[in-house]
Amino acid sequence: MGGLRVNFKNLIIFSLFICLGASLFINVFFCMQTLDLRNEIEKQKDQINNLTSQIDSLNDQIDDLMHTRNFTFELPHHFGFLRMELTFRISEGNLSITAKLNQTQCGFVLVFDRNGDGAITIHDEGWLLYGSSKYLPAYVTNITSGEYGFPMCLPFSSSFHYSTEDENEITFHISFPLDTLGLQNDLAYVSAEGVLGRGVLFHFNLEV
Amino acid sequence: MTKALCLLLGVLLMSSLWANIALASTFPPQIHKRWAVIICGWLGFMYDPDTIYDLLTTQFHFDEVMYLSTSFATNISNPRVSDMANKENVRWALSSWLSRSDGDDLVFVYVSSHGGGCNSTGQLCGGRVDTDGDEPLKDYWDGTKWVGVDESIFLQKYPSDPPDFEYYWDDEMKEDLSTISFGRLVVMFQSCKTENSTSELSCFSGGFISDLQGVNRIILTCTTEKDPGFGKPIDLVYVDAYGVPWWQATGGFSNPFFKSLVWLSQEFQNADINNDFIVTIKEAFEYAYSHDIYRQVGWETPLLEDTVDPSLYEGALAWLTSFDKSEDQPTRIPPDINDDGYVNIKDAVIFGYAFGAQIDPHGEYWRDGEGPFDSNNDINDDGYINIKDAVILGVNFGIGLAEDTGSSSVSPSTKLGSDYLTVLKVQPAENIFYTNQTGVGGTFTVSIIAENVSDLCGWEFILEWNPGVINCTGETINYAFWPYYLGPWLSNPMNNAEGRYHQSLSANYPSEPFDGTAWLVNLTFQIVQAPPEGETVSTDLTISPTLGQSYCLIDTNTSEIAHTFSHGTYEYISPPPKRYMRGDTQTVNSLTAYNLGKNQSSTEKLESVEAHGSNMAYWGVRVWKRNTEGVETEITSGTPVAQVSRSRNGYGIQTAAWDCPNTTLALTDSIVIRVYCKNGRSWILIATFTTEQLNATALKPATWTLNYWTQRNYAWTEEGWMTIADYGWGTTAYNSHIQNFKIQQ
Repeated sequence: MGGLRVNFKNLIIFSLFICLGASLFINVFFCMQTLDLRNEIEKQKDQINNLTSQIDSLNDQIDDLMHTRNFTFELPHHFGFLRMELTFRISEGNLSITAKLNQTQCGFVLVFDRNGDGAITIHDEGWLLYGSSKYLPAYVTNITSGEYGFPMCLPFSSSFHYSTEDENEITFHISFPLDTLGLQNDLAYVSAEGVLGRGVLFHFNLEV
Repeated sequence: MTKALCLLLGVLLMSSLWANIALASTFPPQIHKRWAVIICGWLGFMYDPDTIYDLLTTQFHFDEVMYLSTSFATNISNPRVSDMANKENVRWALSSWLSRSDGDDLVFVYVSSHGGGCNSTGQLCGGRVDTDGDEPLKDYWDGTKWVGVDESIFLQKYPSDPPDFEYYWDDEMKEDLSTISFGRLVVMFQSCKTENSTSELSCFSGGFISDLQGVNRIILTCTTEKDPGFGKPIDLVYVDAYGVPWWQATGGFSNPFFKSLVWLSQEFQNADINNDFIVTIKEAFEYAYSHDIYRQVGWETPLLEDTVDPSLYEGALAWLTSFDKSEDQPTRIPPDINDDGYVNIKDAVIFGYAFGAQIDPHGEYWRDGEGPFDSNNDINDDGYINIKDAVILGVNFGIGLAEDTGSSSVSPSTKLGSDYLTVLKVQPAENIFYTNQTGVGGTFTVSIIAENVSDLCGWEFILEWNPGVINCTGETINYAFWPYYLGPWLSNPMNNAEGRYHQSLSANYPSEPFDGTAWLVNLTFQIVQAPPEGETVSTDLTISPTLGQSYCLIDTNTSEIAHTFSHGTYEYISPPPKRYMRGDTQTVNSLTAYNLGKNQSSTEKLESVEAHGSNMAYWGVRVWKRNTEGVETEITSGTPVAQVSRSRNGYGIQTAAWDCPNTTLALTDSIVIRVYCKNGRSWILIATFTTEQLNATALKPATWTLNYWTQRNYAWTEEGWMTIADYGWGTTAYNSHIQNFKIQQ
């Protein structure tokens, strides 16, 4: 009598094929998945590297910001007003100052509390800076009136500043080694030729 | 008797008045016309020249004003300016233009600019080496010697970087001003003067004083020859034809000076010390000096020079000079109370006895019923003769008017022949020191003694010595004369650069005059110069009165107490150098001989020369110089010199002299001396001595004294009667040596 006869042997073989196929499929699947994960890991590594660079950059910026101070002053002047944009920065043992003035033909007066007595006086030798890297010693004789004096000599050549000038403004680029300045505090006084009355007495808020 | 006394007093009074009138009318000359030349040699310094121009023209109404300014270089609009301040114009203005002035005119020259000279580190900064010898300060090393430096004024051609300017030399300014006539010349320098230098700030304006000072001249400078001068910005900006603003500065000295001249300003009133509504050059200078903030912190030192006499202090002529017109010129030096042209001990005595008086409603000065006192005692004219006047008197003490007589003071020698009971003397009169006992830096004290003086109310004297020989380092003043006194009147009495001590003290009311003998001052001196070996440095210690007086002691009536001067002397002696004939030997320049050394040895040497019979024994020396080759050149002439002899028995040191001629030596040469003895017919060599290589350039001409230890014996010996001549050396017992052995190192 005919009818479906289940061959147990065939059944086993079939099952084994099924298992082999499933195993192969799983292997291929996991292999593919492993490849994806590896790609993902590489991407993550790249991201981490980028983030590290950004962190470093931000740290640099934070560090930079911690050693730089900007000030803007406006003073009455013979020709209206004088705008001073000052940047004080301490870097590699130097105090660097950039002073941009909106007047040309204008000497820039800069005095620190050199003797550390907490005031700007005639005993603190400062500078009257001119263009062409020339300067004269300057001495504040009256902080209230802003009067200062200087030796009435031809200006000396300066090794610590230079200036750039365009039609309407002059910028002084100044750099002093901190150990030669010997500052004991951050008190400073700035003024300029042609300023009416006193200049500005301020702390530049950097660790000297 | 009374009439005769009155007549005598009248004659004396008239004589005194005549003398004063004569002095006042002849010196200094009166002022007639007033001229000014204003020079602005640099663009940044126009404020001060403008200020003085305005003052001279609108307030003082000068007759002629010439304003030369460098502003012409940039076409700055300044209506005051006459012409460009270039060298040609400046020289023309100071010679040709001013040649129209007369001997009774006031000429004022004001200079404001940069300039040059020799800075304090010895660098030439716009100066040049002086060639005519008129620069007393020899501060520049030209490679072989210290020389003076001429200063210059810079006359800017055009503002540029580097600067473009002409040099106007001090010699040229001196020459230009020498061609003009004036009764009074006032030259004022403000602004600093230096060429671009990174070494040391200097201004040099004080260096013009040595060139320009002279009779009837007043020189004002903002600072000394070596110090910087300081200024400050001023609210005045010139804009040139190109629209460039030129900031202006004003001098730390000139600013208060000019302010004090502004009629009835607060500064004018403060400067007018004697309240006569005239601010003289002296008053303006004093005001500017005390209000110069840079002087106050020691950065600049304004100078006033108005007398050529070094024994007088500056200020007398400046007191008698102002910028006012002739009828308003001052006629008297306020602290010169007796108006004799000098502020000295006479004024101090007059003042001392008027001290404490005050003005009454009748305008007379009385004190407790005593008076009236001369109103001149109220120097500041405030109604009181008090400490304020004393301060003015003290500050001006020592000033005086002096014409260029070529003599700095009354010669004390002219009075030495006088013989008075009163003596002003230096004690001890002789101050002698030896280099082997007192070294350089050692000190000694002399007293100035007033002997047998009566009615003494004040004293003032000058003691002078050769500068550089000794320095006066201390004074002790005897204040015991009077219970109340004024002074000492000189705050800086010692001037070692000039070799002068000047001091004064006066009685003050109610002290009584002093009678007797007492010391006035004890002065300590320090020895600063050593004499060359074997020589002496000396100086006289000369007492003299101040200019305008014949004596140093003043009585109640401010008359001079006649006295004899007894001066002192100082000597610092280096004993004659000796060379000892030692007993040890040395080899010098290939010669082994006894050592002719600087001290004696302990090795005794004795050499004898024997001869039959009774002979005269002689000893002497011959002298050679010897070089390293062993070549000897005799300095003596072939026979022994400085001979000593003995005809009888005896022994001991004998001396004889020999004039050593000047003898050139090589540095390695030595001197060889040979001692000879003649006992009979011929000279026999006894011993040879040699010095070390002397490292000297010459044997100096000097009289040597030869000290020989000699002995003669005439005795019976185995060979019969013989004369034995001995020569000993080498120990202090046989101390043969040479004195005054001088070499030129």
